[in-house]
Amino acid sequence: MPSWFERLFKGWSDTNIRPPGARSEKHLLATCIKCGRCMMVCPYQSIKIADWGSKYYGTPYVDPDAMPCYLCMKCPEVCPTGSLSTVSKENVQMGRAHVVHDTCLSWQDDLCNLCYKRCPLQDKAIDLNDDLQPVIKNCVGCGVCTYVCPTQPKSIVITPQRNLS
Amino acid sequence: MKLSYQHYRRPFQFAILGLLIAIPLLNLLKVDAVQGMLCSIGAAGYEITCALGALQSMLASREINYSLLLSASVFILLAIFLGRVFCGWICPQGLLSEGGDKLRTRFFKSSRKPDSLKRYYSGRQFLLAFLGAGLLATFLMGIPVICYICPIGIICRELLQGTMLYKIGGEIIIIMIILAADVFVARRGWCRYICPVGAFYSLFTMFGMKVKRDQSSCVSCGTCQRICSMGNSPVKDEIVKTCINCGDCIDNCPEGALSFEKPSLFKSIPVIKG
Repeated sequence: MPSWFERLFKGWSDTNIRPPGARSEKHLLATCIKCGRCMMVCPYQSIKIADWGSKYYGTPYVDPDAMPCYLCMKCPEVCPTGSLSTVSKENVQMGRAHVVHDTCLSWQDDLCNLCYKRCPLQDKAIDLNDDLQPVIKNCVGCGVCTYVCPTQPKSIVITPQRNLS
Repeated sequence: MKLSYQHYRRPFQFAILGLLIAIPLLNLLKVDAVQGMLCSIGAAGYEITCALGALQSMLASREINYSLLLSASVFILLAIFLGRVFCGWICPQGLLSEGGDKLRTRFFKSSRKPDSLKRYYSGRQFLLAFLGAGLLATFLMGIPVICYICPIGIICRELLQGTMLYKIGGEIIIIMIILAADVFVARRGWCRYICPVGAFYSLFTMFGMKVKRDQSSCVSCGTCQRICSMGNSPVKDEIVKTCINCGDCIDNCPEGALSFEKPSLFKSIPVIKG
């Protein structure tokens, strides 16, 4: 199949996270009327709209590898249906990061800590232990750490909220 | 020269389409006084939301959202006072379908024959059946089903993604199918027999602005019946809820026997003369 044809029907990857303020996956799918207001207001163009071909079609998502969410919290204010509810940064539930110790530079006795330095909720979401290695605490899953991680494949990855038990 | 309704309506439709292209471009340039597309527009703190989308959203989540009710009432009030002007004057799919209608008359010379009344009544039943089935499915499945196929939302999203993300989604296929069906299957078939948005607004048109026939000057030539793209026949006083108040019949009436009637809501209000 030609690549443009594949792109026409792909539109969704399971690592996509929802924009901040989504109460639950079920509630967002029920209330979202696919108007695109959150995408228009996003200053970083982090929010994209899921493409044709799945039940997620038309709903907003954030792909942390392409552009993470910086928790500016503008999108919940414009959402007309309350799919994204206004919450404070600390109470956002987009997902949860976890560190892959086998490839993380800090855990392999190197110095990196980029994820700690760039985290919007520094010391609350990611903290450093006594050996200066990143540890996840109250992570909201914005994905900035994944975005800045220098290793390939990424040593810190986000699990979307709907996949957390 | 007397200005006809078409002289206002066509520029208005194109202005709405231009607005839908300009808003995302202006938002990219950080001019965000007006945000959003037809599904939901926000300007200076005031919000207008698609009434059918709002209803589906509340049905699917089974919660009542009062701010959503308020913002959704604008289009319903428009339908109550002015009839289905959303379909005739605002809807971008309506503009596309009228283009398809023009193509259709070019391809098939016979297409200007009026549909029979029987076909109209079944069409109206189709409309309501699709709306009812969509709302029922929305309630049962917990997903706004009509939003998945709504061509207005699709056009808005394509314009949005095209200007902001430089990509075109695959759902544009639905627009192409609708246009092809409009040209080759039924005259303005989507608007007449399927569109749930139009069906929803047609539920509120009983008091609104209507086309009225002056019996003394009408010569029963049937031009209005041939010209009406929604299958009404003003010549037989059969102007029903599919009328979108486009004014085509008024403009084309050779005797000037047709005109818009004041909303019947206002007629009962006595006029105070000073």
